Amino acid sequence: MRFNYFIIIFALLLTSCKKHEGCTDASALNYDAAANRDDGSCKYVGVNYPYELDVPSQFEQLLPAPSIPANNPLTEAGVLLGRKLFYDPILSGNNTQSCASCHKQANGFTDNGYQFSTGIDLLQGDRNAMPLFNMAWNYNDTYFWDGKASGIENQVFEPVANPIEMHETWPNAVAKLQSDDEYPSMFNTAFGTETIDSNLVTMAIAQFERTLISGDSRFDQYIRGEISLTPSEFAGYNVFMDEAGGDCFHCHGDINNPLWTDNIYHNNALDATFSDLGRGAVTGNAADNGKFKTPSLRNLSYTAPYMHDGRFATLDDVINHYAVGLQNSATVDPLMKNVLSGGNQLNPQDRIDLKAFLLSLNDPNFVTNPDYQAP
Amino acid sequence: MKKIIFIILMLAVLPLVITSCKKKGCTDAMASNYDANAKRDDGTCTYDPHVDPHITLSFEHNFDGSIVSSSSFNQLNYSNQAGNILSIEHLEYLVSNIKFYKSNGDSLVFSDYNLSNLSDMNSLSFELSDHVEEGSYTGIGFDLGFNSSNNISGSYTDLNAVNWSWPDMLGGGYHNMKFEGKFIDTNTDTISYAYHMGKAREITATDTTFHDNHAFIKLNTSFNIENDASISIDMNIAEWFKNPNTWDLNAYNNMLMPNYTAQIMMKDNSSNVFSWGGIVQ
Repeated sequence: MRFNYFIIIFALLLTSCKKHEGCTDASALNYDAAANRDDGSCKYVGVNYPYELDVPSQFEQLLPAPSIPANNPLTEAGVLLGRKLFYDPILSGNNTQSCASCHKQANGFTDNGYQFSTGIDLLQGDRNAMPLFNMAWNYNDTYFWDGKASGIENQVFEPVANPIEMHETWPNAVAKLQSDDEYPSMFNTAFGTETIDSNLVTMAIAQFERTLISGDSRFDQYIRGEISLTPSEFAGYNVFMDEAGGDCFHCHGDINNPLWTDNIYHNNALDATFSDLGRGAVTGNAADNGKFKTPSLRNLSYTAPYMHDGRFATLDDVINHYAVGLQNSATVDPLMKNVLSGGNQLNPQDRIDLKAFLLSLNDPNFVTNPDYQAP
Repeated sequence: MKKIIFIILMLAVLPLVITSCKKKGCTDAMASNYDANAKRDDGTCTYDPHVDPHITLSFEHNFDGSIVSSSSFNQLNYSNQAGNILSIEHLEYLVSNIKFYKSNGDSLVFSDYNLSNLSDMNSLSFELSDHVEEGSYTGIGFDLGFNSSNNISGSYTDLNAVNWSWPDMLGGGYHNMKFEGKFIDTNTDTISYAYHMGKAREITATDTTFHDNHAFIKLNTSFNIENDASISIDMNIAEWFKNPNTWDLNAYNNMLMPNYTAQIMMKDNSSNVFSWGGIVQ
């Protein structure tokens, strides 16, 4: 009996001694009233803090560290500012379009199923809006279908000033931000100056875009050992990986490269002659004509239509292209090995399985993640 | 009075004059703090720890003597032993497990690996992460690809990110080489080839086995390492089609990864592909 009392008293002593760690400063943004021991985590208005990327464990295991430019490290204030700018139509000529107008989260940051996007002057381009995710793992750091921009910061300059897109001048955009009630102090917190310039705008948006991470598809869960694939998904992965079958992996990655792209440029036999030279127009090298960036295969259900010009409305159209639709040209990639016979001739069952595998790369949590919504 | 001040001043300055004439310092020219003005050694000499030379390996490429670089890609201007007219569009290969053989039979082994891609000039040379001790050597060796103890699926993040993995259904691990281009076939059509080398999957009536198919390359040549040096290694691309197997691209052009015969022929043909290109130090 005496022994039992001793145990109870000892247990009470233990729990009462238990420390609740947190921020104990009532003037801090993240004051935790229940905390009885400060853990150094207090954050204050107007102060900037490093932003920790939420890197999926399979990325940490399989891929090199994310590539963040030394001159634009991720910060909480920088990411928040970039997120606000990304969703703010103030950057367009008539204040009607933001980046998000053509890069919608629900569509994997593409444009609502449209083949081509419509700018503020109701003009259209000739390339399909690219999805935005896992850009911190694009080690070549080139952007657009033809890779004409090096670094996201440089990419951001383009659509704001493009006459068929947001059609604003950068001096105007900066002047509007400078006279806004909120932006100068946000720039001050993020970059230490209330004097806004276009470089800082692009740096903030680039920071936000680097936080867009898609790493929780069914196939990711399979890599992490959390679920099993269906027999059809698994059979489809084998079609994808078989050089004598789909042979998709040489450009689109595999279980050890969960980016599902090589982030470089190939001519995938879309056309016999080129109305759009693609990479060749950027490099000036005729050997690059008709080459476009390999897109990631993640989130395909949200990002239709497909190809640089959005010519294929459905995944079945894409699979059919590689099966029977290949067009020969001087720069066609050697990996398009059956170009003279039209393609890899996948049979109906292989096509069904391949599609099931491709759909296992959809990441529904990415397209609904509240961290990526308008602030 | 003035005289006294003069004498005191002289006495004060004299020692300075004397010491300045016999400046002390480190007088050993081999020391890191050698003082050329010092006349008398004061025991302060310090010496840098001995640093063995840095070695850079660089890979150069030719097709039976004609220099190959990415600027000569995409043109049907090579002819192989079988008489196929061909172009090169992509050539990328992995070198690992580098060894330096010493005269006494010992060898130095380096854990470095390098992916040489002819489309990226910077990838064609790399410095060994460990230094190489001075002395005389009888040759160097390396693996084309990874040997079986290093060829572990998924374990090299930089290689994963450039799609260098070899499919699990073929035994996994990594490619040894990706070599692609086009050739003129017997119908005079220009079609592609993809000469990809890695593990060889053998399927028999009763069994499927995966054969380690990396090529161990040894280049015998006598050389001395005295200083930082750059060693060049030549790849004669034509040898992939030549010896001992005359390689007709009409017979073997695509889907070679799951083709056991082709994989073994590639390994056999690797024996004369590489040669010693010289050392500069």
